[in-house]
Amino acid sequence: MFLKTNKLVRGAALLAALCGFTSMPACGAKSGLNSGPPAPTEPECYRDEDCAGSGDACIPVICDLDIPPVKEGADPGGHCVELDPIDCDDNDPCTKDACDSFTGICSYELATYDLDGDGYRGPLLGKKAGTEGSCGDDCDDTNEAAHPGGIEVCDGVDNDCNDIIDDNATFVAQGLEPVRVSTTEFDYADPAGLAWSGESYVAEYTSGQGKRIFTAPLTAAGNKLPPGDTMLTELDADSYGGQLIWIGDRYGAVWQDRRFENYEIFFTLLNDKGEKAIPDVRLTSAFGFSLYPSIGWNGTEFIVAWQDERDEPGFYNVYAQRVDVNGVPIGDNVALTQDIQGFGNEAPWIAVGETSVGLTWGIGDTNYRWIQFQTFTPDLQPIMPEPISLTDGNTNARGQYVVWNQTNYVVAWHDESADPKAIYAAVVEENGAVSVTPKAISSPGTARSRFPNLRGYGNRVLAVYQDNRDGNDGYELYARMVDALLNPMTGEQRITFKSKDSTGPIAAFGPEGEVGVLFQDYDLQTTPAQQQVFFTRLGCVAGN
Amino acid sequence: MRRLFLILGFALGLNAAVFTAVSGCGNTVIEIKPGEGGGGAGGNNTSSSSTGAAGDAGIDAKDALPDYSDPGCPDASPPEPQEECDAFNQGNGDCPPGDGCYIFVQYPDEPCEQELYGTYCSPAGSQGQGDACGGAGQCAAGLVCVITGFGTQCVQLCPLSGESGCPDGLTCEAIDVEGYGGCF
Repeated sequence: MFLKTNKLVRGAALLAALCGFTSMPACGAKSGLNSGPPAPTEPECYRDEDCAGSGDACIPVICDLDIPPVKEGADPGGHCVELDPIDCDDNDPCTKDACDSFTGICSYELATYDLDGDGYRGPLLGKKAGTEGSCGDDCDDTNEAAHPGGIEVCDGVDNDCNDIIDDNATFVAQGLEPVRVSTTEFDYADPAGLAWSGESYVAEYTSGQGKRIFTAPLTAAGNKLPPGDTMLTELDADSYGGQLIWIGDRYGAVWQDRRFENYEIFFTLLNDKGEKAIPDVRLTSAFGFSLYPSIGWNGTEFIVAWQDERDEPGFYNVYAQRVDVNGVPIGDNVALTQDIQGFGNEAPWIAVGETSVGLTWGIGDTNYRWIQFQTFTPDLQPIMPEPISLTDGNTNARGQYVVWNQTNYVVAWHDESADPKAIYAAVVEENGAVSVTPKAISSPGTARSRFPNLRGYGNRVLAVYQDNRDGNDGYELYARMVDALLNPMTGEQRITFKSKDSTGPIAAFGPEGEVGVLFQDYDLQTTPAQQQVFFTRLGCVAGN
Repeated sequence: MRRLFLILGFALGLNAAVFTAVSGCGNTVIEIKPGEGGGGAGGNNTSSSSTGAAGDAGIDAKDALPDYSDPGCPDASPPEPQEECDAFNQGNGDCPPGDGCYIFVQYPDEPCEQELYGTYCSPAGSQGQGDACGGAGQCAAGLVCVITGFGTQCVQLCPLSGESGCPDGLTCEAIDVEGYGGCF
């Protein structure tokens, strides 16, 4: 308001000065022409509010009162004048500069966050923590135990920000009986997500073939904490959990459901107990199915990617959506792929790197498939002009997964027709260069390994997967550590032992270097045996 | 990461709904429409400080989230399945010769309505396990056409509990028709 008052005073002063000029008929000059006095100039405005565009104090438009009143006692009129916009740019890349349109006052919020409350801020989007212009030096703002100067301990965290997690530690199966996580309310459940907040895990799982998605906080041993199972979706709409990610003070969760008839992608925020904190945010509204969402966090924004049918019935492209820390979508859905030779782009998985977003997905028919990979900027523009294929299309490669390994991406998948039918992996740099070509990282012999899930430690990668080599009436879960060049560092450890299929592992860093594993297994206590969700863990053995 | 497998047939071909009802039956949803994406303002903080404390810019470190209660949907019993035949027991005489028994799902129009599912008889297709398909009826009896995330294909039906009966190396995983799984 101060700004507007000032402008009105200045307009009145200008009017007084103009009355001294001779060409102003209103001031009494004679023309000599027999045409009568010219019609008085019609005022454009009498007050600021009469001017188009007024009301935004950041782009001020005023009524310059330069026309005297037509008669005594009338209001003076004037012309609308656009003044210079308020310039709030402080030339500091570490602040978000904004002008309040009501007050015209500039604000300068810090552009980086300290979500984990450890006193260190994460970097700007696309910047490496601690580098010039990054405006933050916390290499992991999702965990207060990680920051510059931290002391490395066995906890699944890069405590000292040297790009290596739990330096030189190895992992061993605990040999403990897995704990059933899924509720007894339904006779079937699938694992969806698992993440550690620093104080507890939250497990996400789908029950009853999509009747409900549940979350449940778990102790390090997998036992439920209050409030127990919480419904993430409270309607029977074929909901299916996508993924769960902890960002330092909250979880982001994505899933698909068809509450609006068509399958669409939804997002929400959860507190550290897994309870919903905001209403469901619908991310898609286009034609056709939107399926299989994956989520990442780049320190400032969530990135959600999924396969989407909107462009052509029966064919899919991968789309993505940026979402801010409060769950507000940023911009619109962005297409990340296009149809290649009539093949749809399916089952995306994303990971967030230092300056990029890494995306892997599959294309092909039901027997011959390629594993694709491409990187994008934080605002989802391609870094690599074209995707690369990590397989040659002569085999049935699927189950793709990508993890950021502190300095590059590791992409893994399984192959249903290659020899061996193993877990394969490759290392890809942010610029798209393949620094380690695809190689088998499991050795199933004549059996098969499937559905890899990875954890990156910087100088090594932990792979957890299912494998049916042991003939124990189906699949069991195995784990193996490989180095940064994907060479084995350990043997393949079997981590489940009950008969019947143990499948679909999801690994998460836990406390004291442990790795929690959520998976599906048959509950042999039920008749008939039901497929339910269980938790087990790997222990950390500190290295030198 | 495994995925839910979606039946193709009754499901595919549904046109995009007119997405006007963003709240119904008490279930609250925040919706964005094309061209109306948010600006990423990160809350309504109007602080003019340039030296804010940790976790500013619309959020605070820890304990930043509000309490929220999802209103959910009212309790309701699911509709009875419309079972015309036994999909796990093909050739038992439920269907005419040359027909197979197939499963279907019909999605509801409103968020809190329930889906209708069941079985029906239809001329049997010829596509086998893992073969590509483009809709219901292309798969052989006892199989179902599903969207998998690795190609839309025919898969053998299986029970999710007990013995799956799946071919060696395949597991019985959920599809979006209650009571039925597919071999993958």
